[in-house]
Amino acid sequence: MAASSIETRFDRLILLHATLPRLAMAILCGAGLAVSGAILQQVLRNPLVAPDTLAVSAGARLTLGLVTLLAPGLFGFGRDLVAIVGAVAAVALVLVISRSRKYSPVSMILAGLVVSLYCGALSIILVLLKDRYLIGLFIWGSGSLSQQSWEPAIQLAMRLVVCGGVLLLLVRPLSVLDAGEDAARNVGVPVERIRLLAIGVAVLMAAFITSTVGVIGFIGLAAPALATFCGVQRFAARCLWSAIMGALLLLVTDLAVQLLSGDGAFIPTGAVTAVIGSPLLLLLLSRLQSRQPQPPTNETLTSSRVGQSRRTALLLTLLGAATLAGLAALVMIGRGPDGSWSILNGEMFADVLPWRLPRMLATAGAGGLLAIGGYILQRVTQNPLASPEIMGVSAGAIMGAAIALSFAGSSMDIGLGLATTIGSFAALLFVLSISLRRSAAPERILLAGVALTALVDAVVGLIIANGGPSSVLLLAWLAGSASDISLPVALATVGAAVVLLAVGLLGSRWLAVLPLGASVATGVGVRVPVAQSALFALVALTAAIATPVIGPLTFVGLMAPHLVRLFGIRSAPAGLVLSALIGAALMIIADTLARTIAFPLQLPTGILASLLACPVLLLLIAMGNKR
Amino acid sequence: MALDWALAETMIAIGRRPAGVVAAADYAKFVIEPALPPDTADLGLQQELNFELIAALRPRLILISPFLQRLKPTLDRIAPSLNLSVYEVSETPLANRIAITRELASHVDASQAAETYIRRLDALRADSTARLAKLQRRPVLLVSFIDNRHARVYGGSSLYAETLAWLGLESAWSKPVGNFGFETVGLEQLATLADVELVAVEPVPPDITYALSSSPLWKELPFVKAKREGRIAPAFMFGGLPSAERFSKLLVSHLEERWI
Repeated sequence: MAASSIETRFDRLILLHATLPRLAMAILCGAGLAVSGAILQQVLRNPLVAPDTLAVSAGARLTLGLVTLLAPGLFGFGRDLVAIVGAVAAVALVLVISRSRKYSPVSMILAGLVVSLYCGALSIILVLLKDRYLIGLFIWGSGSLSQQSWEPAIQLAMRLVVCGGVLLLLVRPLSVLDAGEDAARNVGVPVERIRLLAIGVAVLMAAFITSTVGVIGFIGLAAPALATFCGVQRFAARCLWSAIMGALLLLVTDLAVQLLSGDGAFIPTGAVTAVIGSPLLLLLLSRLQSRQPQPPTNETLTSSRVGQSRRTALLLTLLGAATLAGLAALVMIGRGPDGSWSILNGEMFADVLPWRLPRMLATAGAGGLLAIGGYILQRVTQNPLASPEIMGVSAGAIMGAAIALSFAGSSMDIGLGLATTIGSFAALLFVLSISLRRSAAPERILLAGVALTALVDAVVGLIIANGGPSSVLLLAWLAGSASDISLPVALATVGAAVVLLAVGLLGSRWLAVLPLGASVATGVGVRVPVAQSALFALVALTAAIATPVIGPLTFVGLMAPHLVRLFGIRSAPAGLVLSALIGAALMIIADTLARTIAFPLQLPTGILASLLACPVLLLLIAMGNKR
Repeated sequence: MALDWALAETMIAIGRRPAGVVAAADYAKFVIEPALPPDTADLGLQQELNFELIAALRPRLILISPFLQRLKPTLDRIAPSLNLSVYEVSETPLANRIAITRELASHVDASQAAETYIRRLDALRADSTARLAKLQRRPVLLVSFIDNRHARVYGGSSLYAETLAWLGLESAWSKPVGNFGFETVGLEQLATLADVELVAVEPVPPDITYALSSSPLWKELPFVKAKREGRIAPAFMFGGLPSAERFSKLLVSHLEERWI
């Protein structure tokens, strides 16, 4: 009797302080994210933007991670402030990057993905270096709604209500935007200021929610999309219906998660919504009308000048090769057991070189491969943000590795490599099947990659949140560890780079013609779908070979082609060769730094490459704006 | 040299000095005892071994855990490597660790020291159980807090839970746990546990104390109301016998203060 009364008392307590706040939290977060997404979609006139695709969540997660490690005592408003700084910085970055592309939907999503990936890379290196068991960051990152008091829900509600008040004032001017910018200006709406304010409110809402419960994927994208799908036209109504849909979506998902998980494994709700949401993104893509091919830019119309620049191109290529050879000498420089810088001498040579040479060769080869892939991809899609990392092939590789590590646990000698390759090719097949069905609209392929990447991110979050030492291994693999590569593998990677470069050169006529547009290409006798599919297959192959070596998070494939453009190389064959050389050179520099800067710790080469590449990349894009 | 902390501490316990240890900087934070000799080289991160440094140190024997098994052929090029696992799923983690200690000892000519050490642990157990027998005992709930809403509870075949049983104490967590002997749960799932003593293993995230003190549910938990909750200093969860020894000492002296 007494025992059962204690139990009923506790059932009531759990209901009051855990179950009910959790329900309230799900409703609040769902509605808030959905409204945030609806505002962003209205302001940016883009059906694909949402807090997650604009990197709001990733930015907030990174800064919160930093603060957790550096100043862990923060809570309440301090935490919010940190999340807001991260979120605003990330969104600002995305907007700056996509400005040069006139905020086109695709470029904005891609910019968001790059920023998200970069934030993710930084988070990984934080965890690897600062704290082996910083699992909390990942649980939080995957968005668990578990509650144990009303306080967080009430705090969040107050903040969202304030945001909602500002939003009420914005509804009218924002609705006028439906009639077009000029019409809005004519009736006296200060378009730019309203836009900025609205984006601010949306980002704030998302940042508050992210700082309270972590990243809840895709609600902000899905709910407004559903509202639009159901035929809701006016902006005010869309906000309202988005809020209702978002609340329902998250509530149902969370209840399902609680029912299914029961006593068993711990499942963060936010990761589940992301897993459900990624296919939705794909569905949205097929409904999104294809962007008109851009008018050929000056860059691509200068074929008459190719003859003139051929000598320069040859010269630059030779120069590049010479530089690469010079950089290879870095293999001799390193740090001895006592930490001092030293050049390899006779005694140490036999001990150390067998470890240093393969990793340098392999990373250089892999960098070259990704750069080849990136050059082809950027050339064909005419999108400066395209690269194999973003095409989803790397994501497939991660998925393979994640599955192998979580199921095979610690006994995964060859399994890992095999799973990675299978994963890459599965992603390749998936992306290619979409490209074939949809007459290979380049941006659609990239977006399929985006959706895949988001899905994989969620799955990895799930695995890591459940802890266990194998999750640490997965993290290491994500970071792109090249330390244990054997000489045969290294030589094979370099060989593959050379062979695929030669194959790419065979297709350089396609590379020269395709950017001029489908009609021009068909006019000179190129079968566009065949050419595109062949080139994409080549890209996928480069990524599938390179990813197991240096991990999925380098931005070499993105960066090398940019540098080629900076040098003013326009002829396709020269550009391809130079891109490969630059990719290899970047990786050699990254690998040398990875070996030495934190001695005796060695850093994963892949992550170091991305740390180096990203700021330069952002600078290049910003410079591109001025031109 | 030892590429695994459990094996490194076992080596030190039986009087052998490892030339190098993986992530030596973090060892002091997570394993704490027995301390590394100051001249032990840091071999880099476990996920990113500094192979050239390992090679340059010219070790005689390399001790690895199953997580490095995939690197065994690579490491064997430097020196013979030996894979001893404290991570295996097993009903008797302590017995496993005793076996590991003996095997490790046989490879570094320290069998005598190992037997002495194991006998010392038996004496520790006899002493501890005698001390605990005088106290008012209840089941112990072992957790570590992850963030302000989640904790790992230890049960099953975790080193903590088995050490608890080794001391003759009862674990309060009877629900199934993951392969590594712990399960991540929301704090509200602890509400159903009535007459237990909560012991949180450090490190506890700093904002936990605040978050818990503001949680009505937490304050209503029977063991919190009765002030039957406390913390002990860190002990390495994936450790060897020395970590079990450290954990049991910390636990016994903590419980002696609580259960007067």
